[in-house]
Amino acid sequence: MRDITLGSYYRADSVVHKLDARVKILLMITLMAAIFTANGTVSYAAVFLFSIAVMLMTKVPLKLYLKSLRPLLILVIFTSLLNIFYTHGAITLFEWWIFHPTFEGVLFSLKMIARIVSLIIVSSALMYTTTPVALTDALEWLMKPLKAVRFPVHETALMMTLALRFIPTLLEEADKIMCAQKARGADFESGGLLHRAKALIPVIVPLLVSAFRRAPELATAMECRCYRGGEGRTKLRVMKAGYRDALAALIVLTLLGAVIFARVKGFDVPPWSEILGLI
Amino acid sequence: MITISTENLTHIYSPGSPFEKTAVDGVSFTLTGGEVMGIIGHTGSGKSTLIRHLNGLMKPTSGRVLVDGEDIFAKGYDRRLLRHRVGLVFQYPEYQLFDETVENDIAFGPRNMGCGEEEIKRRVARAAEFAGLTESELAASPFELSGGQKRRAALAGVLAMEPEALVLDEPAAGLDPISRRRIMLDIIAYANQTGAAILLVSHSMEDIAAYTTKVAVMRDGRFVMQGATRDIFSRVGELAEHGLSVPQVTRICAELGCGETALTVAEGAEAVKKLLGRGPL
Amino acid sequence: MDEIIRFENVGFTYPKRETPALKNINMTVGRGEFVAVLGHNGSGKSTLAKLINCILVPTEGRVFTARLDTSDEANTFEIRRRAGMVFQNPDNQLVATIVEDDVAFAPENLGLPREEIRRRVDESLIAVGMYDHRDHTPATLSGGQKQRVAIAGVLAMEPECLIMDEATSMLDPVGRRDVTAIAHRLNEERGMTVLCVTHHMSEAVAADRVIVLKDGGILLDGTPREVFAQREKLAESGLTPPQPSQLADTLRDEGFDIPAGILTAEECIAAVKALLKG
Repeated sequence: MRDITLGSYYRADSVVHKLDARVKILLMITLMAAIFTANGTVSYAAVFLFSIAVMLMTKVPLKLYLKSLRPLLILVIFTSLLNIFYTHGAITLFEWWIFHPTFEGVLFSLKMIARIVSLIIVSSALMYTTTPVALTDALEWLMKPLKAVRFPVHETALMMTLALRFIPTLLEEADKIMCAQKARGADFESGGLLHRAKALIPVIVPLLVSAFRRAPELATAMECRCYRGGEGRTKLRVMKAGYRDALAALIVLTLLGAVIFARVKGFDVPPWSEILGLI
Repeated sequence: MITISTENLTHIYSPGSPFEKTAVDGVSFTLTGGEVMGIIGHTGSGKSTLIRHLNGLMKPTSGRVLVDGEDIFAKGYDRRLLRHRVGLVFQYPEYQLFDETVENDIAFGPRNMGCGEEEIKRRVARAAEFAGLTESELAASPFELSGGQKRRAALAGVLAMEPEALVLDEPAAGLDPISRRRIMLDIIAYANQTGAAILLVSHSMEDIAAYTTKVAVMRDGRFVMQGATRDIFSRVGELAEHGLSVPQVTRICAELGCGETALTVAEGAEAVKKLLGRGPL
Repeated sequence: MDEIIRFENVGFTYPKRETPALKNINMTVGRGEFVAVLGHNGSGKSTLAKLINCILVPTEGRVFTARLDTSDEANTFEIRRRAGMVFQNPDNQLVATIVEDDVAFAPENLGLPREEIRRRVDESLIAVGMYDHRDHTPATLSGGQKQRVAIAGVLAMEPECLIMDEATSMLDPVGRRDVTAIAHRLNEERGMTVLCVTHHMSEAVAADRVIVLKDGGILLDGTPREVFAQREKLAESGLTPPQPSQLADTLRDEGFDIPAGILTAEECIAAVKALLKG
């Protein structure tokens, strides 16, 4: 069975794996900003190629990235078809029946594809290279400023950890209870929606009862290990950002800067009609 | 009388993936009504996976499960009907209790079987009697009962289906000695009165020795030893090779060189007396 | 012998209950003792354990753990650090998704510096033989392994006393053997006081001292040999002596010259062999 607490983490030895989780989260946000800022062909190409480079650097099998792209495939194809056929432009590629796709349309849909694919690659790269534990620690650290507005930062992080800890336990239990009720003749497969929902009561009630039974036991066990809330706690894991993180940040920020610069100054290749006209 | 048998039953988890694991490997056995069969072996040896096949909850990767000679995974075989005939009691079955009263919870099985109200009442009363549940316990919420009572209520929930075969995974685990003995006697009483076949998975060698007629030893998904309980428990060294011990009284008699293999303290006392050359006083 | 736990006329009644779970308990546990507490369900044995480290506070009398009064709230934290507790269900006491993070939980709560946490986590995991599993997630461990991690989590507080509240009752024989072996090793090598609540006679046989509870009171208190010789009283409390004791007792009842107080298979074999020779 795949270990569910690892989320989609893929163990590998790459530069991206070694980056500090906090830095990774911040850089992912920065990259997403760059992806959304890009508007010219050059900028799009730059962020897309950069995302591909990140993907290759993670040493995570490309198969996995393709897997996370799959659910969005239909959306991508559909929007790009719309874009190809309904974008007006100066250069019409061919005419057939009511369709007259333009060169600009093709270019625009390519840009859209690049944007969606880049976004997915960047967010997947974070999930594939960072364990949920590291993510939780990083989020707890990044949320620290929220303490000022009395947001329960430590408690939120603890809840996330406990949820991760108990999801496999409860899943296993749900499976067991379901089998036990099936053995008593319960039928979860046939009947209408209402019937099926009703059939789940003998699974949900014991599962809830068990969760409520576990909670106080867990609370007692935590108190017995001297838990008194987040006050005065220290941490085994100390997150350290090093030169590698600084370098990564520099590169990504440069990219964002360049994309913003291109957008503000309108820097891009000359209009395509001119280029094509020259030929 | 029911006959359950398996032929080269094999179950492989996640075949073809890196997590592939053969949990059950070529297991064959036959169990008939009136027999009490024990399965012993370490955690992870495949016992729990094996028993889930016997009422069709799990499908074998290869091999067959036959009930009265019919392949239960053949096309058109009604496996829901099969579950009425082969009752399965899971580990810590009290965690499956859900209804407002113990009585209603016990009625869950018969109700799923489509029994009429009269029949349900009869079955609940009979199951409660087997499990030794009182009127007040039947009317109580299952969540108010003690550990031992809950366990018996859950057992009654399966007995109410009046199965011809009863498969139990560690029915006495975690109970105190009184409740432990009581639930084992309830199960044996059910078998004796109804002629049901019993398959008992247990880590307790004392229980296996005292209550079963035949035993299979499971290791790494295979049945490595199979035979009459007395015969199996006489092979102390072989069991030890599989990391299993025999009850202390069995060991004492074996080391003293008593001819007969003793399975209970009473048998042990008789054997030692014989050894000492004196009949009972 | 220096005392570690003292009960003075202790009674405890759960809220909204009429009958007390424990009544008039007087006992002292010395430092370094290995005590097994027996009794069937409802005898009060779990309540007794929970009074030691302030999960419950006596409704009558007083409990002193490491000479600190458990009724004084100011002592709670210190008492819990000194008397660690392992519970029945291994799943309901692990808090982290990674073994070493879980063991670090208590030292983190104690506010120890990072290097000290690291040292304690490593030492505790080595002590229970789970160091190689330090980066695993609890969900992939067996019950016995989880329980060993739970013990490591307690050891990381460097307590003087280990309380096991039916800590082996949900384990298979291998898990039970491993966990009891660890408890005995801690007792022998570090002089740690161990108090284990159990209904496994084999665990009681291996203890220095056995306390049998019945209906909230102490029925028997003595060495295993003394306690298991009291057959009538044991039967009264719903306990059966270990098989070798039963066998020896049966033979003695029938007129054979077998000494009283036999506990193990070896002792039983030796006694019968002596008869055969004589």
